Amino acid sequence: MLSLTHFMLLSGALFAIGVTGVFVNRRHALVLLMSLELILLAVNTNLIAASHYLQDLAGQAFALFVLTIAAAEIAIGLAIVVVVFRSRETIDAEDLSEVRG
Amino acid sequence: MSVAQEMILMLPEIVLVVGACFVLLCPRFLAWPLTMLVLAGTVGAMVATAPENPTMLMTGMFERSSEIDLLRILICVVTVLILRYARGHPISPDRLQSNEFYTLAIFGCVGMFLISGAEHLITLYLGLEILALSLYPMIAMMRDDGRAGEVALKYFVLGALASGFLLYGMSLMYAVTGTLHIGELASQLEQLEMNRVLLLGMVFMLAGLAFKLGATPFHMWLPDVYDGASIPAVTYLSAAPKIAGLLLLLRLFSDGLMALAVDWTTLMMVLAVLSLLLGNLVAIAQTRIRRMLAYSAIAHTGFVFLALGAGTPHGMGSAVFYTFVYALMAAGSFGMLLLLNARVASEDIQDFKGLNHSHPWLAIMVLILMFSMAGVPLTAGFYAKLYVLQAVVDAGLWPLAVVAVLLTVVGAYYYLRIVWYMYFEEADRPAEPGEDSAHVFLVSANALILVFIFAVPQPWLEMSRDVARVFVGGQ
Repeated sequence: MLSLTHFMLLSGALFAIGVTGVFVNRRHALVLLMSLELILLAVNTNLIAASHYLQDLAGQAFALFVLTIAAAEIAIGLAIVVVVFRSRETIDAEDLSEVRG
Repeated sequence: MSVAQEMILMLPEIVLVVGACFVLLCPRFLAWPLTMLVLAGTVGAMVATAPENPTMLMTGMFERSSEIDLLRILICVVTVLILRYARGHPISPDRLQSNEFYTLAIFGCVGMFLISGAEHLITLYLGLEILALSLYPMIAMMRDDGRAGEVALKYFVLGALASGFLLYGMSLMYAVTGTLHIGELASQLEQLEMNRVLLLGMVFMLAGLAFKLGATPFHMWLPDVYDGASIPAVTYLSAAPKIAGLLLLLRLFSDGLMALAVDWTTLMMVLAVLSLLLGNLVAIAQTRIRRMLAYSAIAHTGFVFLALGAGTPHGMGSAVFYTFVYALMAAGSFGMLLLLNARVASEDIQDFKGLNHSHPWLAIMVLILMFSMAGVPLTAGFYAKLYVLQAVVDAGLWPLAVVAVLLTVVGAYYYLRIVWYMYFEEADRPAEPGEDSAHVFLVSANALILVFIFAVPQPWLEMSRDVARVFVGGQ
């Protein structure tokens, strides 16, 4: 039988993969966006699993809000990537280091 | 409470959202007056519908009280100041004085309003995201400038990561306590025994907020964003989200997680000392004024964490006072920068040389702003720092107060360097501030109010303490 701990371990793993993706990946801006999405999915897994085991609907409602906002966030992220590509002709994260101090 | 009554109490937010839509769609020449009308209308609606006692709306998800309203009026005033300053920006008036820029600023206010009243993690998260999603495009708006796009991407990735951290922490809290309501969370945590999941959730939430505020070691994005984005966007970024970040910290930690105070006060003190150290020391080495202000912002964030880390009601009151003064100082400094920048595009600190000869009045205003940032007496910055240090000493943490004072003295160097350049060095080339007299008037009023707050600090401090008290749930 699966317990809440199993789900939380799964979401912990998803979260860790997402965070690692953001910090390790230096090649591609789109992979950055995917890693960010993975973090939010980990959060949703947590919320929905907890909501199921606690028999409380608030967690699932929260997950719906997180989903909606994740969509809006990624839309803005993609728009910014397009802006960067237009002026730089690249979205390689390593090439984006003009502003330094 | 009936739905109609609730709608009336939500009127300020409704005016803002509806107004933002109108500003987006109206003809261009109407955008500026309409924006001012919307913000004035919001303040009007707030005053007209002010409840006598703190009132819970939307089944306890949102709080309306007169103390919080004061903070919201402050948010509106700072926004009006920033938007007026932004009109002095000459480089790309078609982008930065457009309907979109104003709409985003108003939506940013909506987010901050939601955060200020949030009593539920969903409302809090929605407010935070509405604010963040307004800031990302605002920074990317100068889209022909490669630097703006680059820093917008940086800010977006780290901002989204910070939201992710915060949310993950919230979801862990929910899994343990089974509630998303901040008041219930607080009472649940008092009964629960400390466990590792709770601790992990708390650390993630604090890390997320430290990212948002730019406290060391989560500050990497801040100097780059201040340097690369357009000045109007940076002005908004430097003042408004600081207020929002403070409100989030008060709600989540001083209210929701009060039972874990032993742990989070220690962590906040670590963040505070690191921020003060890095902010003040690295700022000395900067030659560009914007980067210097960025590192000074990190140091100021350190002070806010120091005040909250004291963990006492007085500490929270002084944190509110500090943030309030800082928002005014930051808006004033960038407003001044926009004014001085109106003709010359360079932003080297050397550009302040000889300002006293060409524009004595503006030099006095810069002097007041820099003294206030440094915490020199005769300006509000002095009391802001003093109250924080008092709260820290009262909490029995005097070694930290000593460290903070020493680092503030170090920090005074780079503010006073600007004053030295203005009064005692000859100009390499003449600065040509714009002749926008309304802008000069506003910047002067902004600076002089800091002197006024020094003259009568007590009412402002009382007000800050009242605000903090409401946030901590009437303790």
